[in-house]
Amino acid sequence: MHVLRQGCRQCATPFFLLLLSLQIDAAESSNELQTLPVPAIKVLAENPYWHSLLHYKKTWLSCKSTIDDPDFFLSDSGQVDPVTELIHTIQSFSNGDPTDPKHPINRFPARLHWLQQQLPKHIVAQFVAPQSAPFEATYDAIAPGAASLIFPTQYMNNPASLFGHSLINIEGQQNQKLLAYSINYSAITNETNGVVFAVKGIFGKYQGRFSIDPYYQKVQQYSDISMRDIWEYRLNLNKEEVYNLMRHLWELQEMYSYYYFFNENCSYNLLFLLDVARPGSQLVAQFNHWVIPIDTIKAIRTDGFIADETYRPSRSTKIKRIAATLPTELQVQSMAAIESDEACIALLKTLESSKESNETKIRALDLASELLQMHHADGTIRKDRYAERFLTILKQRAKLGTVADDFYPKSIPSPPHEGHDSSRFGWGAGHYDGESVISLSLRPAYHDLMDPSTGYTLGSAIEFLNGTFYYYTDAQKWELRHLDFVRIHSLSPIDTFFKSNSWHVSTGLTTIKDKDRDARHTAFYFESGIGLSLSVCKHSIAYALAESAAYLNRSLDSGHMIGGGASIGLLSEWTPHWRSQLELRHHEYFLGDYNHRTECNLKLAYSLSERSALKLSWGHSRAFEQSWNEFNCQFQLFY
Amino acid sequence: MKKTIIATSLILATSLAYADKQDNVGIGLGTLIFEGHDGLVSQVCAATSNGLLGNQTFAITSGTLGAEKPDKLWASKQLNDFVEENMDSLAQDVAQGQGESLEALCSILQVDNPDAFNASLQENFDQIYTSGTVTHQDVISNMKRIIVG
Repeated sequence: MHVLRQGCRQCATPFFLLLLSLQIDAAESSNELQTLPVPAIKVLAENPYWHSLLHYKKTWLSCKSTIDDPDFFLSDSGQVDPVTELIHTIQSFSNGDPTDPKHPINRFPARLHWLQQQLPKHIVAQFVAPQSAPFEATYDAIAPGAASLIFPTQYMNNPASLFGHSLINIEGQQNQKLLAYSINYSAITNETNGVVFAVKGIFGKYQGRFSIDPYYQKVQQYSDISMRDIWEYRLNLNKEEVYNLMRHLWELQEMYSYYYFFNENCSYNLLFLLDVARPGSQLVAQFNHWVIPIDTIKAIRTDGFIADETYRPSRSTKIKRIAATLPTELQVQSMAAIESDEACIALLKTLESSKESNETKIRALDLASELLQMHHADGTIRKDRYAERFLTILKQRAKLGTVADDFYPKSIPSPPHEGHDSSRFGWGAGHYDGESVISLSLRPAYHDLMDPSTGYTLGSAIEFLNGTFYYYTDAQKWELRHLDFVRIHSLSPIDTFFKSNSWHVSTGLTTIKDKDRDARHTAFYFESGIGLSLSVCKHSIAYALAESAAYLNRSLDSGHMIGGGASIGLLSEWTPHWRSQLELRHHEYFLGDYNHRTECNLKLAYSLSERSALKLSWGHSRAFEQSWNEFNCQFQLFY
Repeated sequence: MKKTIIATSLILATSLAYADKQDNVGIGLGTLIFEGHDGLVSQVCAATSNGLLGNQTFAITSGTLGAEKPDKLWASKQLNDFVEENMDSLAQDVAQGQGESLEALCSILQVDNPDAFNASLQENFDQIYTSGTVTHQDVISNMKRIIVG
């Protein structure tokens, strides 16, 4: 708030004072500049494109640039004052030595290009150079071609990465995706402590900057090591639009802005590049407090930037695809081959002596080489052992020739932009312990186990600030039923190759029953669990988790109850429309108040359309030697 | 609200952040460029990146199509960097006689007939990847010997 006020005060600097200084400065350097009419400058400074170029964002009275680096502005008040910044830009373009690489003309080619189009000829004629020589040289060397928006989807077994990341690829003249330049905005830090990082990232304590890396590095990072599938959205930017983008990227080199995890993040900062690339585009203005990468992709798509999309399977997806074509014993043997040299040689001998077709041999060897690379990346195989086994397998593979394009199955999941919108509103009616209630729910972000999994992953969920209020019709009052600050589920079924834990963690406020009476209280809770899950059929996941839980509330005798237990459940998506979840849970609380809690919950959801669903939930609970039922039927809307 | 967010992020961080250190050093097969990026740091779309946008990174230029002599292409920085940073995927592609890394390699070397190029590399796999300690320079010079002679 302090910054905001300061911003407004600076914006309110009397305009005539500025003009006066301009007139004086201008009079010293050039007489012509005086002839630029003041209202024209003011109008120009209000042009949305100027605001895109300077990253101005509307505040409640004026505006402020999201760029925090003072070097980005040519006037002292440039961060909050578009008019002064414009005046100083025109002035500095008309003075100084253009052979100096630090000259504003060389640093701000996008401003230069735009002003050349907007200003009268006699003003442009005063600019000390017609173009930004260092930028043009680099542009020619890169010879940018096609542009794409890159979206790495979630990590395996890590729904926190659902928020994901996005970057922009610019292909050079070679038209090779792997050789593209990846434009990436990220927080600059060497922090390895996740807690420190999360807190600082949320409160804007890191500088964020743009960087460029070869795309093959990104593919290794996301696809090969982190096992995230990547969606590549081809942008329909024409040559001039890519040119604009590159000009602006040049201006942003080495400029910092404070990085905020929830809004001024990677995806948000890419929007400025697109707004500058295509004049008239207003992507940034569509986002304020909460910027989720997939939402930016949807907005970019809606605004007509996207031509089509391609799927780049991660290493884990490739492994599953190859394994699906092999008999189980060969899958197991390929898996064993990576563990020891003997098993590796045994696999090769089996393949050589057996009457297996060449196709099967190719599949077994391809599987083994992918698995080896995976286990090397996750640190389970030492480098020297890995390298020998890897080459032993590849040498055999090299004798077997090439395969057709459709040799391995190529099932492609639904692209992320087809997923439901991340905010959800729900209302309905039900019963809570014998009382009739009207329910109202709101969830700003992001995805729940019972939401349609199209574009997401079944069994993965992450929710922020999911809240439900009940209106008790007899008592005629509203009460908070629960407010989950954060709720994460990761049910990752184990199979021959992937054996990761399933887990969940959630915390927030929830209703608890009083020990002696029927009264309800709102308690703080924290719950977490870890265990295993299995695919029982194509669309169902069975899970079992050991859990711990803590509740804090003054109505409890000792103010808290802490304990643990277990839950088992079955999550199913029967058709793209029908989903169900059955869960049994038992907890024993032995620290603080002594208590047993047993719950049985059944949920059923039916998608009415892409944006709406009907959800039924029924629960039976026993705690503090009481028992009660809860039933709720809600209409849910995604927006 | 701030307390809520702090509490939330603490819980997030403690539940998710786990470091995964690897001990791979040196440039050759089995060298990972990205190490220990499995924690929270890279999840929240903030993976640190070495190269800031600047002339240095901008300067990884691709050369001019069709204007380079073969010898110059085999000695180019782009080829050197690409082979160095894609040792494992390139080895796999060479063994399979096809793949995206090979396509990129052909493009860097401006190969006229990629199918024949790929086939001769595949045929001579053991002469290119002679041992587990092979370096990227070895790989380039072995490939050049096979293709150019």
